[in-house]
Amino acid sequence: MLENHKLSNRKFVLVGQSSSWAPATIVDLSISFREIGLTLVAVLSPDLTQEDQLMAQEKNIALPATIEELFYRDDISFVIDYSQDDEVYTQLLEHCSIDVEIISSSLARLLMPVVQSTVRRLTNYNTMIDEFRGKAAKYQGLFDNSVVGLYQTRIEDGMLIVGNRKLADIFHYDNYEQFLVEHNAVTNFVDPASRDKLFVLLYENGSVDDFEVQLKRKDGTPFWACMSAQLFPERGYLQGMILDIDRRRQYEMQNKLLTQRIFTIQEERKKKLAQDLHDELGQKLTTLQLGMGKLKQLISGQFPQQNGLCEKMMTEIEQIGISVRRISSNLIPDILERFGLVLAIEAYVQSFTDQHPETKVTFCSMGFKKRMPAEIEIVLYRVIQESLTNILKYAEAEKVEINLTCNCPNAILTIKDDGIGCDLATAIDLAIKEHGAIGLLGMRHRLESIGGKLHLQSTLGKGTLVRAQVRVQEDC
Amino acid sequence: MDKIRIMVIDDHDIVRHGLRELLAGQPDMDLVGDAINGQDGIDRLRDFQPDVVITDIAMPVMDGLTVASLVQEILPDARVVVFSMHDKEAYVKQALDCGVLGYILKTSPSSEILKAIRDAYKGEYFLSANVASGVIQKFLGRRTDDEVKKSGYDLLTEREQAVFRLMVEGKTIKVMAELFCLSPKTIEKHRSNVMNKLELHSLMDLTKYAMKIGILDPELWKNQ
Repeated sequence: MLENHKLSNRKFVLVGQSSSWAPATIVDLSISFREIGLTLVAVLSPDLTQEDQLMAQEKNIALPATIEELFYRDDISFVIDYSQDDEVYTQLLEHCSIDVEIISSSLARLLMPVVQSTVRRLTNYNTMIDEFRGKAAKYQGLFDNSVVGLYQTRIEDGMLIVGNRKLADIFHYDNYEQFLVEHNAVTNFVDPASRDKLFVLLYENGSVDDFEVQLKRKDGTPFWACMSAQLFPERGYLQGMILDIDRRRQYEMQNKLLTQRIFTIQEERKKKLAQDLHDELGQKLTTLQLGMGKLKQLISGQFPQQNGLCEKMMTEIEQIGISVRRISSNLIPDILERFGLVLAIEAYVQSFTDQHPETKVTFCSMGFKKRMPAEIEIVLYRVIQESLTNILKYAEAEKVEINLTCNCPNAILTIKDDGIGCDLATAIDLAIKEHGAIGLLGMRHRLESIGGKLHLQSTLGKGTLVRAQVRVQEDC
Repeated sequence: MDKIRIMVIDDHDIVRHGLRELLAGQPDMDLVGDAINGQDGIDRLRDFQPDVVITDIAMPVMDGLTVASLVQEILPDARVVVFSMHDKEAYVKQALDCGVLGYILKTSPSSEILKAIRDAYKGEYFLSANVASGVIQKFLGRRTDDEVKKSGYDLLTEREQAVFRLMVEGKTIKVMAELFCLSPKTIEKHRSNVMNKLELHSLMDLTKYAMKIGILDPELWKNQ
């Protein structure tokens, strides 16, 4: 339509109230018209704002205060007017050399859609900006009120790019602005090597979750934090979140100590009970046996027919003695403390085989140059006891192989059976739910309490492997 | 005929009393004295000049196995019979190593202790039926194939044990040398020692062996 009127590259004047094209500015309009080949050279409007004036100045658009200022210009092709004021046309026609004779409302109407679409576009744009501001405000709220510390720091020097208030709280800063200036991710690691370790993981995987590390608060106090991080090498920063897990760590430590204490008390009580059984009951049985021996001597002359009864009772006492020894040895083998783990296991395996000849248990120990610390021996002994008990209850195994190997600096215990195997997760779950049994979990905790670890592996139809590993030497 | 001179060392009054009663009825035995712990017994050994010493193992001040060793030194002709609650072979073996001739469980019928005293007096061994079977089984069990197989590993030094594991984990000589702060040449020496002592000739054999005896950490294996 515009081509028809040969309007390209023409200069024109806009007349009308600026409020009628708001929220478009003069600059917006000038850009829109330039896109269709028209140059806005002047605007006649009684209500121009200061802002409009400044912008118009920048774009070299004249803003005459009166129509007279436009008189005698010869570069103006036409006027767009939507003031509906015929007086303005008449004046411009009279005084300006306008070669297109249509300073009429028809062309104005023709070009109005351009103005309107600009206005519409800008209205949409403004709505978008408002929406964006709304969203930004929403996310700002999320960012500000987050219960985890959020950060973005420079890879190169650890300088904080962005950090939220919670982050400042975590580092014990009262003043958020001060935090933003002072915080540095390089110096806040208690052990500088931890940051290197974090970066090794980041460069390997791009991101890291649940990285537990000790950081420093404002006053230098160390605390435990759980970090997640994502690396953006091309942008030179990393970002992620930080959780203060200091209290959780404390609880974990306390929990660990309590668990250890429970095990210690349990062992102490077993030991006490075993000793009482062994010593007190044992000595009483001895006296009884010796007394029976004496009685037998005394009556054998007068009542030889009672000899059999005496002997039966002596055998009975002997059997009680065997039971007492077995019970006390099951509680805690006296041999363990005196002769060490290897002989204690041999004895245990022997008595196990005596009682359950259907299961063939072999034991082999290798590589030990000296005895292990007592607290490790007892834990490994309990692992064997627990495992053999489980095998007996559930595995239907014919053969069990126990290996105890010293591989400096660790001691490694494996118990392998050829039983029916199981789905471990389900089995452990079931044991806890149905019987309140925590045998295997207990074993794991106990091993962990002495710095070791337990590994379980089971395949249906192919048996089960229990493997315990614990450090027994400082170095080698 | 001379009676067998017997001395009893036991920290339990009731046991000493019971033995005294029992021995009093034996025409060939004479309880010449008793003591309440190992030290007390050793101190009075020369005074009593016993032929046979009956001693408990677990006692305060000095235990029975120490007593047994010392008796050999002080009165070489005296015999020792252990009278104990402990039935494990480890105790029996250690007692026999200390020169003990008899080993009787306290809860065994009293005929056993009488027989042990008489046998010991003649210089013969006698063990309670319950411990004797254990000792014999143990003796028989020693001659298994596993015993032969494991002997190689027992020859490894602690450093060689570690080198063995690292070899199987696939660590290079260079890495091991850095780890132990040793020269690659020394590591090379350790490696050949491991192969020779275990009598294995390939890394594959080493790996199989390591898996068999449980050295390989399955978690480490999984990650690789």
